[in-house]
Amino acid sequence: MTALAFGRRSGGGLAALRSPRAWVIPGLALGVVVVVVVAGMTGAMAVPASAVLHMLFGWTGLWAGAPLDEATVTVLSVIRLPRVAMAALIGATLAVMGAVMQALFRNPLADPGLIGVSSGAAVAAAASIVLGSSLPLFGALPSGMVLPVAAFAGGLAVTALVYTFSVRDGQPSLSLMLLAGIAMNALGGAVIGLFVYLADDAQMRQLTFWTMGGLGAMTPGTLIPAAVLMALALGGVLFTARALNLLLLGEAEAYHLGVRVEALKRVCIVLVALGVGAGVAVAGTIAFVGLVAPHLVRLMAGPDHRRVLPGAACMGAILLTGSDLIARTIAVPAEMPVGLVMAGIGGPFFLVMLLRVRAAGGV
Amino acid sequence: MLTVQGVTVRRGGRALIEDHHWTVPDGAVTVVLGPNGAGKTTALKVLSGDLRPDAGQVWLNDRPLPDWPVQELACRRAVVPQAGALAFPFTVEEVVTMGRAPHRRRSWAARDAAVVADALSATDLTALAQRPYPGLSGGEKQRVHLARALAQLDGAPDGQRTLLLDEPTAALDPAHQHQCMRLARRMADDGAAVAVILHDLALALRYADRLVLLRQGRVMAEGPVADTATADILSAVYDCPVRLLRVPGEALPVVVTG
Repeated sequence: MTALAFGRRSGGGLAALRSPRAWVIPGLALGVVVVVVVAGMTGAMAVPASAVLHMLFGWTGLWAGAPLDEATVTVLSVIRLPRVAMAALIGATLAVMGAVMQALFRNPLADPGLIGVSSGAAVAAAASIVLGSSLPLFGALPSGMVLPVAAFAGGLAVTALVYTFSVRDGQPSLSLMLLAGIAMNALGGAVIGLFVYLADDAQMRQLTFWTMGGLGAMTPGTLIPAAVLMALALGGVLFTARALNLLLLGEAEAYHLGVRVEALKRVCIVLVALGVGAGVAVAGTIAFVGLVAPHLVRLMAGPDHRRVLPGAACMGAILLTGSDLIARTIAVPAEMPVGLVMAGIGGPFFLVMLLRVRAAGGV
Repeated sequence: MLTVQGVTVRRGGRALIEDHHWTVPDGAVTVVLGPNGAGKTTALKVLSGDLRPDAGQVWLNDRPLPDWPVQELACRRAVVPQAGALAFPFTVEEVVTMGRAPHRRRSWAARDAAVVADALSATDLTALAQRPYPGLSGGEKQRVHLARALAQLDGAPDGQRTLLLDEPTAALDPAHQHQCMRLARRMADDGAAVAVILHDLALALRYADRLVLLRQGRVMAEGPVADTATADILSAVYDCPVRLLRVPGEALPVVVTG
């Protein structure tokens, strides 16, 4: 709100702290901890909050509690916390990459799917479900790895294709990329339709559920590589916040202000494809979070990416962890697709936010 | 100082600008004039480094433009665009502060804030500082970008400041047109090299030291206003009768076209 909001070394710390925007990131970070702890407590075997906190923070020495019994440790460390951590990481990745795409395309409606990574992953996932390990190369993989590896490779391949189509005079043109992405998404929809046509009932069911997203089917072999990829992509993209602010002025204007625009675009596309590709590979397509989480953060913290990116990470983690908590507890012992929960709760919530903003005269 | 040396830009087999030789000297306002499609904006894009010429070279001081690191260039060359496409609700003050981005290793928050406050007041924007940019009028947006450019050139190495303006007065009312050109004039008086694209001949005659007159991609005339702003040259450039009428008591001639 003040002149200092943009300075790197925001002097006058007290004045800055009086701005409500300064509290958005700490508030959201606290929200992540609360949601993670609640998600860790909840499930077939209830666990007290103290046990979850002990598992999360005991090793730091910040939390000293009684030693836990073996069953609790097993439930938390083998079943529940890996899933909660993955939900938080995937939510954070999708949300941050959504914010990056919106900045890159200077369009608040952009989402990571625009560059074809989701539809490429979906096509490859459909192929691997319907054709199974009869696909070349994939026969050698353990059965639980075929789908995620195929989805990741498919996402990257289609993004690379979209990128190739968009290069003009040696530079990626964002408007060409947008159009090529739309064409690829349409083509991907047709190919998925073809696989649905070819699929038997069980395959069709698996395919349908994959496209609605779910964290229940993750296998240990894919968790670690996916988590590492997402963490790297997230960490890398946080360094682009200042340049993304300048990019919002326009590509030429950003260049005039010292941003190496072509390099920035390439780095962002690669990081978005890696992060989203890894997330989609293990959890299926989860729409909505990439579009809405950055918006919610902008409504609270303003458009500066030095707040939007970390804020979106927290917001995405909260949304997906919370949605997954609901998805796995609302119809026990069955599990809802997390994408349905996300859209079902997030949609109305977003509308309410819009109404409030409209009433306040913003946007 | 910017030096344009034999620059040609072709697109689709057609030369947008051809064999340009001219300079934007330090301490002067150089106004680029010409009819629509004469290549004014292309010429400015070559000056700013947005466009690589197909032949020839642009020099900034002692170095060809491509040899300047992007960041170093941004510390001494600012561009005021025709229209800003920013759709996200940054405040006016935040947009102007973006002009300080190239200096962030050499500057500090308090100094940036002071520079930004000066730029806002020089462009009559102090009262609008906390308003979101997307809600401004076209003329106000134009002034924001002018203020951003002023903030960007504060702290540039002495004798190396370059300001490029692409029709900065197009959306401005007469008072702000003069304010904008006075600011350009003041930058030049402080030693900056200033190049401005204008359509308004009266503004050009009032504020220019030098003119570059373009027609169909070629330079028709270049030099001090006294030598280039003649009725004959202007009529030929615009393909339209231009008369310069002397009025008693007025230092500048009145421009009559058509």
